Amino acid sequence: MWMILSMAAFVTSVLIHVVAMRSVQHAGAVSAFVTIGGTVGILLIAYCATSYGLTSAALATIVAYAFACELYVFLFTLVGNSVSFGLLTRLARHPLKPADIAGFYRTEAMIARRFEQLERGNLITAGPSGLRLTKRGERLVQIFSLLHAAFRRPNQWVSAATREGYDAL
Amino acid sequence: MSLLICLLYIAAHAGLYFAVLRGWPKLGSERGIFLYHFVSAILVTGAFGVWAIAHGSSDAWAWFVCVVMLHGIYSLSFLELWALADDSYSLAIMEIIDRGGAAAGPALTQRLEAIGKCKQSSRLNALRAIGLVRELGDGSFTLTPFGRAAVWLGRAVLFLVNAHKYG
Repeated sequence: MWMILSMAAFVTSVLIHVVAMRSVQHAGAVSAFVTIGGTVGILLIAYCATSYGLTSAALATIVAYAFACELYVFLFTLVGNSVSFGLLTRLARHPLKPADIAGFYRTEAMIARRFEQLERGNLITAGPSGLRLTKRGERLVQIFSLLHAAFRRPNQWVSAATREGYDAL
Repeated sequence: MSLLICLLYIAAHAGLYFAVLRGWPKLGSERGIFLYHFVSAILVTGAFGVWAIAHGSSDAWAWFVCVVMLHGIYSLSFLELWALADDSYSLAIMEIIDRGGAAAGPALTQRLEAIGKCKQSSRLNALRAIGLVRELGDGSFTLTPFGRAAVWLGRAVLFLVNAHKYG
């Protein structure tokens, strides 16, 4: 029963998200799902607390719901921003040679989309002297500089750009 | 009790990585770090599965699900952060802007395009390595059946979020 309850809550969240993404213009998929999934999650916790109390069934229901939500967000952010998925869809049409792939895949469009997403997320802004990070963007870069240190993994593209002399630009 | 064991195990798994294993070259690749978590998930599922079968009660199965899902949340969060720190194109753009100060114009775009092209070639190799793409005799690339399934799944996910742009 508790497993059905957990899955029903997840399916409800996804269905509301599907409707919200079609009815609210310029809704961010992640922020919309965090709002919807969070609200349904709180209702689920309240229901479990009153029906089951603090039991293994209540915890399993909530944790299974949380995992399903995280997996869903992971999947749609992965597919929506993935260079790999872009390549796979092109290869799904017909076989391509490496040179065709490079010609097919417009990096300008890829960059423009990233700029659009970063500006919409209030992470970068265009000023009179060019692009700069917003306060929020600076905080995110700081957080990730801590993660680079924790994982001992600098962003490989920044490293490549630096090696190729970005600093000299 | 089983929840506490699981939380301690997760803390030990993460602690082992950060204290000892993070410098290991074998865990420096996507495949390596994925296997580190995948093997752990198999171990936890197997161990708690055997315990739940031995116990047999519905309570034991609820704890089993709880433990497996907690491990799932931990591994997914860890791998997402690892991948973002290692490979995120958007973060690379932000870090380059941050380093370059008020960087703008063609120089930035040119550099980012070069990075984008490197990313495509690195992704193509990665897709071959995980068996989603294969090379044909004439040097061109095509999808494997797993690759076609991945495209189908991806399109289904994009349909759900009503996304028309990707990549």
